[in-house]
This record gives sequence, C-alpha cells and structure tokens, in this order.
Amino acid sequence: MTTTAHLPAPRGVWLRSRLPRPGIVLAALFLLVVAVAAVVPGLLAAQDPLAIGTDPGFLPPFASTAHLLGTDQEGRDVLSRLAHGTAPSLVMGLGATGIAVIGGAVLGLLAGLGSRATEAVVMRVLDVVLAIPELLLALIVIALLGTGTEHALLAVGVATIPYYSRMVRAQTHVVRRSGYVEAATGLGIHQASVIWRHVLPNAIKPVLVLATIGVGTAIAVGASLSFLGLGAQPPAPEWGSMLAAGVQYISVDWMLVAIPAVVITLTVLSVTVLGQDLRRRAEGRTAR
Amino acid sequence: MPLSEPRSWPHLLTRAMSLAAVATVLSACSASGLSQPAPPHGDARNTAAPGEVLNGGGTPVKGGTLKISMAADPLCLDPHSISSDTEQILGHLQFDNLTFLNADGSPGPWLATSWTISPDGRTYVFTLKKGVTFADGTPFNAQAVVANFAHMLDPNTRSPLAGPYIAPYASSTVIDDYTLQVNLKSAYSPFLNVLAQGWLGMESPKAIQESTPAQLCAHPVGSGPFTLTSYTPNVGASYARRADYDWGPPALGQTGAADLDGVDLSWIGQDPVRYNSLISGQYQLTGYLPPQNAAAVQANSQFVFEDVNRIGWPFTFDFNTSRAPLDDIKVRKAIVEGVDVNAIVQTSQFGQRGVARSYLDSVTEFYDPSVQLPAYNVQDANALLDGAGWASRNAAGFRTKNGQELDLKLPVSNATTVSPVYDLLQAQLKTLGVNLQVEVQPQTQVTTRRYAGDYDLLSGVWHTNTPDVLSIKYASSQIPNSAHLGQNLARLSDPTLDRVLQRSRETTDRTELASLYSQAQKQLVSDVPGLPVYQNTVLWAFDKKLHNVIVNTSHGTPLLTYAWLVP
Repeated sequence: MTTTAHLPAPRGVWLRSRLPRPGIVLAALFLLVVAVAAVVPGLLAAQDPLAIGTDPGFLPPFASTAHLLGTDQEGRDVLSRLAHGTAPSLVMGLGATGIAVIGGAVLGLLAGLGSRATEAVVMRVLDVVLAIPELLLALIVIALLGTGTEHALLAVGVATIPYYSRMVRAQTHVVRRSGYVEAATGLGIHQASVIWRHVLPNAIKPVLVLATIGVGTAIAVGASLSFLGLGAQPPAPEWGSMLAAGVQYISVDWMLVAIPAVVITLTVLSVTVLGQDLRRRAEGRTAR
Repeated sequence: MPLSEPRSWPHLLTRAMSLAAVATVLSACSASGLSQPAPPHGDARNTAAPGEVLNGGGTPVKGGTLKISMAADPLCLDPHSISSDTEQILGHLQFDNLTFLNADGSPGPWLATSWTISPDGRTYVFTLKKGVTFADGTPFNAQAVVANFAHMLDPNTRSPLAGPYIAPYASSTVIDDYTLQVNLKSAYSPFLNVLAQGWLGMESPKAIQESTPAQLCAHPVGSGPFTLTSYTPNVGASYARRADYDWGPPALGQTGAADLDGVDLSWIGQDPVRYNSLISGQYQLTGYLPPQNAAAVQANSQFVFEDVNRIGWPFTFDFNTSRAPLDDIKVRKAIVEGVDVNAIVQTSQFGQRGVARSYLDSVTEFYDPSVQLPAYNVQDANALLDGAGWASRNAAGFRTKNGQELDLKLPVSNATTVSPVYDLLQAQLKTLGVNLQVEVQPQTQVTTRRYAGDYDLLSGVWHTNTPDVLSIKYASSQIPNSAHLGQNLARLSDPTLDRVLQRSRETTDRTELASLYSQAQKQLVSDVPGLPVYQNTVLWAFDKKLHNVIVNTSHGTPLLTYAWLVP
C-alpha cells in the first residue's frame, strides 16, 4: 500500500470543489473540441485534408457550404486541414512535455537523492543547458538529427528537461526529509522501493501542474518549428506549417494566416488557463 | 548596405535558409539568336520584348540611389564562381562582357568590337575595345581576357557555370594588345552567345591574381558602370557610379557614365516581405516578384510589371532514367500523360506562367512548336502502368508489382519556400496509384543525392541564351558523377540524341541547325526524360519613378546601366 504524503498544502485542497469561473469553462470547452478533433477529426470535417479537387483556391470562409473555413492556395479544405492537423500539433505538446517530465524526473531524482558530487554534476550540466534558449536548443537537436515531427518533438522535449528536473530535485529535497520517508528508511525498506513508492509520487505532483502549463508552451514551440519548415513536412497538415504556407499568400488571402494563428493562440491560452487554475488549486490559493 | 530589420531567430533563420537556396539556384546563361519574338502584349501576362526600353523617354535626371531587392544572396559576387540567377541583374552593374545580345537575339559587339570565325568553327579572332579600364585602374586588353578565361577554367574557382560554358576552350594567342585569337578544342557554335551571359563578365586580371577565391567573392573588380563599395553577406551590397565609364554596349544607343549615383541592393528571402517593401516604396525595383502578387502589382498604376519568358529549359521534373521504376519508358510516359499539367500551372502560378509541353522554352531559337508531348489522358496513363506490370493495388490505393509499391522519391531543398507544385503533383499522381514522396531536406543533402543519383525525380529550370541548353541537360557526357557535376539529371544516355546535339555544336548553318534542333526535340519527346510543367518566365517590377530600364535579351532581366530615378 502506498503511503500518501502530506504535502505542505492541507489535504483536500488539491481537488477542492469550487464553482469554476467562466473563463475556465470556456477554456475547457474549447479543449474538448480540440480533443475531439485530435481523436476523430472526421467528426468535425468530412473532407480529405490532402485532396486537391476542382475547387478554386483562396475561397473565403462561409462562401461555400462544402468549405466552411474556405480553401487554401491549392484548393484544399481549410477546416479539414485544421482538424486533421490537430493531432500532430497536440502530439507535439503532449509528447514533448512527456519526454521533458520523464527526463526531468530521472535527472531530478538523481540530483536530489544522489551524492553531493552527483548532484553538483547534474545541476551544473542542467544550468548550462538552461543558459541556452529553448528554441535554439531545439534547433541544435534538429540540426543534428534532421527535420520531421519526431525530431522536433524530441528537440522540444530535451530542451525543456531542465525546468522539470530542477523542480523534481527541489521537491525531492523536501520529501526526503519528511517523517514518512525517514520512517520507511528506518523500517529497513529497500532504497529503490522508498524512492518508487514514497519519494517519486510525492515529489511529482507539482511537476504535473507545471507540465500542464508546459504543454501549451510546447505546442507553441512545435508550431514555431513547423513554421520554420523544421517540423511537420508538407503536405501533412499541421497548424504551424499551415501558418507558414499562409504567410506566403497574406496579401492575397489573409484568412489563411488568421485561422491557424487564432486556433494555435486559443489552444495555448486554454491549456495555460487550465494549468494556472490547477496550480492555484494545488497551492491552495484562491483562483484570481 | 543598411537593412534594418529585427534580428529575431526565425527571421535570421529564414534569411539564412533563403540565402543558401540562392546559392544553389542553377541558372544558365544567355541566349543565342533569339529569332522568335516574345508573345505579344494583351494575354494575361505582361511580356516585354527583348531589348525593349521600359518607362523610357523624358529628360534623364542625374543622381539618386536606386534601392533594389532580390530573393537571395549567392554568398559570392565573383561571377565566375556562382550560378545564381541574380548575377544576370547585379552582374551587369559591375561587369562588362565581350559580347551583348541584340534585340533579335544575335550576338553583337561590346568589349569585343568585332570578330572573325574560321571555317572549321574552331578559331575566333577578337578585336577588343581600346581605352577600357577596370575599377582598380588595370587596363582591359587581350591579356586580361586570357586571364579571365583561365580563371573561369581554374579548378580552384570551382566555376559552376562560366567554366562549363566555355569547356571547348583550348588556348589563346595574343596577337597584339587588342587582338586575341581564341582556339577551341572543337567547333562550338553557341560560343559568342554564352560570352554575353552575366556569369562570363570580365574581371580585373590584377584582382584575380592578387586575391584568394574567398577575397574575390567578397570584392570582385569589374569594368562596369558601377563599382562595388560594400558587401555584407545575407544583408546587401552597395554600388557607386563610375564617372569615367564610357563603354556600354553599342546596342543600347547611349554612351557615357550612368545617371544614378549608386545602387543599394538588399536580399529579402521572404516573398511577402519583398512584395510589401516594394509596394510601400522602400525599394524601387524587385528582381523576383512572387507570382501570387503579380496581379496586384499589375493593377497598380504606380508600377511597371514585367513577366518575361526566358530562353532555355522550362520548369521540369527530371526523371531518373537510370534506376527503377523510371528506367521503364512506359512508367515515364504514363506520368507525362496522366498528370494534368494545366491544372497544376493554373493553380500554382496564378496565370503568370504558360504550360510547357516540350523540353525547350517556347522563346528559344529553333523551338519547334510542332513537337509536343502527348495530351493529358488518364485512361492511357493507367493502361500504360497496367502494361508495365504495375496492375495491382495495395490497401492505400497505390500500385504494386511483385509486392513492391510504386514509389517515387523527390528530394526538395528546405532552403526556400516549398513550391505548391510538389503537393499538386503528389495529389495527381496519387489518383494514378503512384506514391510521390516529397523529401524536404537541407540543401547539402539534396545536392549530395543529386550527384549520387539517389532520387527518382528532381525539379528545376535552366535558363541560358542558346538552344544548346539541350546539350547541357541531355548529352550523355553531362551525366553527373563524382568527377563531373554535369546537369543531365535525367541521366539519359541516347546515342542518337548525342550525335544530333554534337553536330548542332559544330555547324553554324541555320537551316541545318533548325533541322538538328527539331530532331533533338522529337527524340526527347520519344525518350520522355522528364515532365515539363511551366515556361520559365522571370517576374519583376519597378516603381514608375525609375525610368529607362532595358529588357536584357539574354535572360529577360532588367538592365540598369542607363536607368534614372525621379526623386
């Protein structure tokens, strides 16, 4: 049986029920639509996002019932591309954050529980990595591995590892000095078991809150990489690459830029709003 | 020269990428006798005639600095060392050539005032213009020309265009300071034409001798109407007027120095930025107008818009005939018949470029309009693929043969905006059951694959000023290998075609040339070494404050020697 830790915040605050604020409801609803688009894009848009038919390019939104959001420069349905582009865009956010959380947890535990020397080495290396801006680090990874969604995902994930490992390390320091860990160690439980069952579960919670906010950032960075032509490759639909293609035709049809830009912004905003709310709840502060 | 823009990461990166792209844009040189007039005005395009003076008349205003924008920096300004198309515009600011193409496409005098050709076509004797000096004071004479030929052919120059264009050059004999005999290894009828191309401009022999290749790239010295005063890679270059210049091409009918004080050039890789900075008046001329903005510029009475069809090889997908599946002529024919090129061109080129159905651009001398690829016919195409053994289809709808999917790999550089043409072709081939895989990669990787033959399709254009472009693209001696970076990317090896093309280099008899080039075009249509898509036209525009811009016959580019600017 897992011994549940008592975090600094009193128990119950974590999921304290409170009437959600309208902004949070809106964000959650928007993310629900995004989630549906990611899992079953066909529900929102019936057309093939790659199909180039006889329809003219640059149709404005609502001009045709077949193309609610119009068509792009090649006559493809914008709504379909947006819907089918959701999954790759979200995979970037979730995947990169997943890599960062796992990598951050391992390195953070290593630093937090290891010897002073181990901690010094790990933290100084992470300091160096932190000194390099996230996007620049991602570009270096791509330069080494090549372009493509998987590489961009790995790049963003690796670049954000230090943020998580620093937090895990700090939390580990708090948790390892707590009574229950000392008790478990005193009872003679194997060290690996103590780490796995007591330290990690209690150190990771604030990290998950941070990760929620990080998903938004990762989506934005992923879109930036695709915008630069380093992420998803044409003709695969992806929000960042749709934006990049649209910019070329901004003088002809500005909607090709506006639509993916608004969707990226709203998604990142919604994830961040929910993440902030989670953090406030976890920290026991009043949502404000 | 100053171009103040925010130094954000994406900005720098895209700029760097577009610059790298420019460096690899392969262009060919000038035109030989362009006998066929350009299409008349009045179609959807605004096509200037070769040699035409645009926004001419009026009294020239002295002074002023012309600001021009170009798509990408060749990262070297030594014309002999680069293949960038931008050289056709900016090269003529700084350099003069031995010949100049007349409006009718025939080679006329410039720094070479006259010449004689031996009956066997292998010996040229040039009389050179006297009193010409380079910007560093070095006199132009026969020795200078010899030094230039040597520099073009020097392996250290790594010349991608100038050197290969004078490959038949053997030696020179200086008869006196202003008379030079050039001996060729074999007859080469396009010789006088290629000498008019920007990449074969004359450089100061002193600068050539005293500079390393890198120094020459950064600061070449010519005898042209302007001298280079500063060059910042990826940012821009500035040129100042040479007050003592008095040796422009006689065909221009003007003498003396330029009216402009100078020219400031900026590299702007992003299409929308280049367009908007022209419209907003930051620049008075752009050498590369994005096709999507052509209609807007055309409708704007403040600008002169030109869309000039160029001599050479149209935008074409080369088929790699040396490996499966495109070694099978049935598959090649099926693609040519099964792709609706009209639809692709209409969608991607905004009505600015015409469809190509032959391996020679329609304005090229000896283009034979009767030789055309078969018309679009999906049924035929499917029958051809079935007949080639690609009859069954897999779950994804792609054709298979012996369990293998019909895949075609097309490496594409990520250095510039990826053209919508690739997506459009991919979508059309999918309906035929062909899986076109567009592989967007760094330029260096694409170049490596290009010369190693690791591709099924490659795309490109080749503009030059002679129908001899067919030898460059399709003679078997031009198949690239580790030692020779040839341009026969279809890797076509057809002895009959080789014979015809070789003979076309040897004769100057126009009747025979017409027959030979017609034969070559017919042979190519039966070999199907590629899928031509659209005519290779160059789109440029300038503010009406700029006057007296001449359409350079050689490459359809603006010649700014005697342009002047209303403040």
